[in-house]
Amino acid sequence: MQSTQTESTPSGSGQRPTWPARWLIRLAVLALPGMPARVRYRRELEADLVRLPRARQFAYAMRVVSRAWALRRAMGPKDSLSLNTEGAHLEFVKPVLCRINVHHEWKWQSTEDGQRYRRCVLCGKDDDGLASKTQAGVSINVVDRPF
Amino acid sequence: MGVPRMTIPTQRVLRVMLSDSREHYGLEIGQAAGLASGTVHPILARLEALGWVESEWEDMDPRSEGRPQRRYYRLTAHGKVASREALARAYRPVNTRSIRTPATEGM
Repeated sequence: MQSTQTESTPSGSGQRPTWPARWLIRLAVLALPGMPARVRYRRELEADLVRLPRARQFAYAMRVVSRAWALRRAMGPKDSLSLNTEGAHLEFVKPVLCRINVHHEWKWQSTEDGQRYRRCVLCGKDDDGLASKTQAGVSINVVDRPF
Repeated sequence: MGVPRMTIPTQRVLRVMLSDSREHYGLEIGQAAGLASGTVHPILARLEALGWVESEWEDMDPRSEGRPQRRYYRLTAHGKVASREALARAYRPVNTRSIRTPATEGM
């Protein structure tokens, strides 16, 4: 999509976001379901920060944090379980073994910008510590065993 | 597809998007609608989930432009029709002091 913006540049725009504001945005997106949504809104909200004067960035980020749960609810329950690569939606009850973090059935997914990550197809949990876990041999990945 | 709760902020967002056919990014919509930051993205997410709004990343090179890509929103064809209908039906608070007529003022 080509932007057709002809906006005037306000004073203070084009500023690199301050680290507290960036940190707050990253905190806010943790409330969102799934890695694709987190990556999307982190990029989107950080792009908004750049448009603001540095003095206003922290207040903006604080309000984003305060409304993070509203954003999650607005995305709807299906989004929390969307499988980005297949465009399919699964609705399921979280298995007990997933709840107590003993067993997950990991499946590779891609974010909108092509980053790869693993998600449990049973409960929707993202494998955030993928690299360290697999290197240490701690990852439990029993794909073939149904329950 | 359903209809979102037509709260005042939702109405403001829809009016901004209807008033101008070009694409808008979240911060811009919030500023035009006079909404506090953090309010506009949940509304846009709800409208997007309903199929009234669609969004796309800006087609530009962040390195050459020196800024990150923005996410641009626009009303879908269905969204334009549905939002016009919903806005027409929506409750609009009336300021009773503003409906003073010359006849009543003379009394």
